[in-house]
Amino acid sequence: MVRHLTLAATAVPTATEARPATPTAAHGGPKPAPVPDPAAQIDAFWRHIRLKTAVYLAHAHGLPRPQAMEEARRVTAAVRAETAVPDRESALARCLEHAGRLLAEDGRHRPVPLPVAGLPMDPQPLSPVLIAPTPGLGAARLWAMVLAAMVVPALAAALVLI
Amino acid sequence: MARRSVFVIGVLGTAAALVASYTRILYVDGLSLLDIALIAVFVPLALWLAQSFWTLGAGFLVLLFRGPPPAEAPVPPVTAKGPTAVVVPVYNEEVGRVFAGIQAMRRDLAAHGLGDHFHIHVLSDSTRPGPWLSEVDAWRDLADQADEARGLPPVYYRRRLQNRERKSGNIADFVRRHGQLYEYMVVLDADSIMTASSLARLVARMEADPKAGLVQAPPRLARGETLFARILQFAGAVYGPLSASGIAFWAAGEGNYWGHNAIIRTRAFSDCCGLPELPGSAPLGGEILSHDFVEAALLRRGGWKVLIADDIDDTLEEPPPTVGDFATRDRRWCQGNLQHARLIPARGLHWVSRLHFSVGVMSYVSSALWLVFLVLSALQAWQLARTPVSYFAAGRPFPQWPLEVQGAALTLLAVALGLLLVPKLFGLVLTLRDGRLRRALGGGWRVTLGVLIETLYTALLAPIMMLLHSLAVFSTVLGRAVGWSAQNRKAEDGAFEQAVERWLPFTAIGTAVTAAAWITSPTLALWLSPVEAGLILAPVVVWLGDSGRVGLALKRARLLLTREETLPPPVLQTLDTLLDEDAARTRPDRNALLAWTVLDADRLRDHLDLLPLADQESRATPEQAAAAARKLRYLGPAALDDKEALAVLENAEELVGLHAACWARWLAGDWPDAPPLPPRAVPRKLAG
Repeated sequence: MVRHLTLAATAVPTATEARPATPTAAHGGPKPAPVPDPAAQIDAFWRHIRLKTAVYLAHAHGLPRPQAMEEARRVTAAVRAETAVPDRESALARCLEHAGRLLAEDGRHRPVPLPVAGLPMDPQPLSPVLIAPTPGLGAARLWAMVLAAMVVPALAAALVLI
Repeated sequence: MARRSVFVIGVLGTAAALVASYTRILYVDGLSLLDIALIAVFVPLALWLAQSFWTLGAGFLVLLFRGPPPAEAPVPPVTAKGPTAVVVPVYNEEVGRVFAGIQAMRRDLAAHGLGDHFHIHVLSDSTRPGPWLSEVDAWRDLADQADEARGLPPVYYRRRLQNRERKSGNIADFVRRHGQLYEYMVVLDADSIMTASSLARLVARMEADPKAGLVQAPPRLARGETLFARILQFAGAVYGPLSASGIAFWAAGEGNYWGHNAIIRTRAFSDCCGLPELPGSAPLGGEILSHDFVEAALLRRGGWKVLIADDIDDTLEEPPPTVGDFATRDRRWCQGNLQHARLIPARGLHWVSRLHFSVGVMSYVSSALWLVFLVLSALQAWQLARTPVSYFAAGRPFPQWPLEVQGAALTLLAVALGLLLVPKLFGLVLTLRDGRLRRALGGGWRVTLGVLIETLYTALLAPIMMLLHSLAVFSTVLGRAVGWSAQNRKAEDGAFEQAVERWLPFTAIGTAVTAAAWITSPTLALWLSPVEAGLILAPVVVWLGDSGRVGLALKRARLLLTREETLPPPVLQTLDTLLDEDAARTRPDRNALLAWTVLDADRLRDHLDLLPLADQESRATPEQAAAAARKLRYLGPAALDDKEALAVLENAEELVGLHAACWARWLAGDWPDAPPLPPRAVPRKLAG
């Protein structure tokens, strides 16, 4: 916020610059407070918005500085034409959105979309052969293998004992 | 098939001989209940030992008759009609390494003129915003480079917002979206590296055999730095080919799938490999964790061949850097493999697929069985020590002399050790015979010394792994499930104090076992000394294994070398260069990437384009996203935790609104913790 106010203050003409010559001053009396020029103040306000928009365009969208200034001028003019004098934050937000919209379609899109052309991946049955009614042959072969694997060494052990 | 008959007869015959010898030893004083229990436990262990020996023995014979591979593998022309997808699933990985690997493979493909034949797809399941945004950042760099250098294969990136069914779900999602576009897909792991030659040869294998559903290339281990990792990769270099060729010998068209470095016929995968949820809850029910074995079995059930290309030896992956990382991975694999026990009797599977499941289960259950066997043996020794020798039995006129069976027991031990160690000699013989390989590994003496170092270290590590595997088996069976954590792939030298702190319980167990054995019988303590030594020295063994300094010192001494270290293929050289470049630059952190995604229009546009590719809803509600967006706007990126950052990043509407709002605050100097803006290489020109 501090920086915001500082920038705004620099954009607006100083009190000395804006002060007009008055009859009182001509007569050597105390100088009255200067009357601000509303048009100049509004111009300064939009100039400030334009500069910020240019900064935005240069950094967020990577525009070279002259192009950023030019684009910011166009954007600010467009926003200014369609609004009254808004507060600083919403004016800037509108300019940024406007600039963003203008450039939205302009950048390169890295993800080249591939066509969606898929294949199904349906879950496959993995029910055990033991509780499945078929195929009986599969179950018989399975258990024959298990028995062979376990029984052959066990038989060997039994033979040793005989 | 004759070769399988020979293999089965060899395994059963060897196991039968072992069990018979053991029974003869136990029967010397009659069979007690304890003896019967010991025999019951020994039967599966004998089968396991015999299976392992005959697999490696078959591999030895295959490689002996085949002869050394050519110095440089030929690169066949790719004749596939369309491009082949190379899918790289990632999950909260170290982004620099993953994308350097991808870039190295792209350059290798481009160098061989194969860039047009492959599309690389990074399939992200990352759940943390930091890795996610880093992946997008790295992907944007790769996408831009594709424009600059012609001939590089394109890289696509997609992140799922909800990572259902983990890695298998990630790949299934890809098939559901783009399966028709690719006849084949090569599945990689995050740390896989495949040469252009290996990719082209895998495609050629599929083209040559229309019935091939999957061809698995055995990955070699490379780029390890710690002693443990270098021992693993040296073992892989010397004995790994025996294992791959042995399995290929008896499995033939009923081979297996190890989850990565394999090519798959996409339509076959779609038809056969949709995975159901198993009845019940985790760890033994629910989602199938180790999907690869199941997918291989389902492909075979569907009539497709599953082949192991044991002659393609230039596909790579990285070993776990430390013993702790290895144990963590094994805990996860143990749960997945034990789940397979439920699938052994699944209907319609080929018996060799059931055998693959059984071998996977036994990889972990064998440790628990060895532990039970040791405990029972110790009990038996204790019982014998307390039983007085009786020379005179009632009713017998002559004394009964105790029979000496120590000789027979030693013979049995020697045979069992032989079954474990002789395959190492097979590997050594093959390495020494191949002059080019022998020189690449530092010469004959160094290879032999390397085998001795590897044997000694793995012997000391074996009891530690036995306990870890046993714990994993028992905890899984008791219902404790493990989550899906990202795998650590990078070594960091740990302090000795840390090793002592973590592994001291193993020392305590080893000391207790030694003391108990000594009290029971000093002979028993001597018999158990290899187990006791490994356990007592656990902190030292692990600390040495985890040490990068020791690993590199041995490398400087040209010990435990691998071919990839002395004659690295161009793809590995490129990877090293890219990693050096990556190390020299500072990667932006999560907060910077989050801010840049919101502020930088180009980056935001990419992010918004990528979001709908997963076709999924965010887990965060719109209200949560709106609240997180407000926090980001007013309190800055550092104020958001990971969950809030994800909520914002997964909501396109909020992001669009935040862009101008956060810029307005940034320009006003009122966006807390605002990072410096991202660098822009080339200012963009406004169209028109």
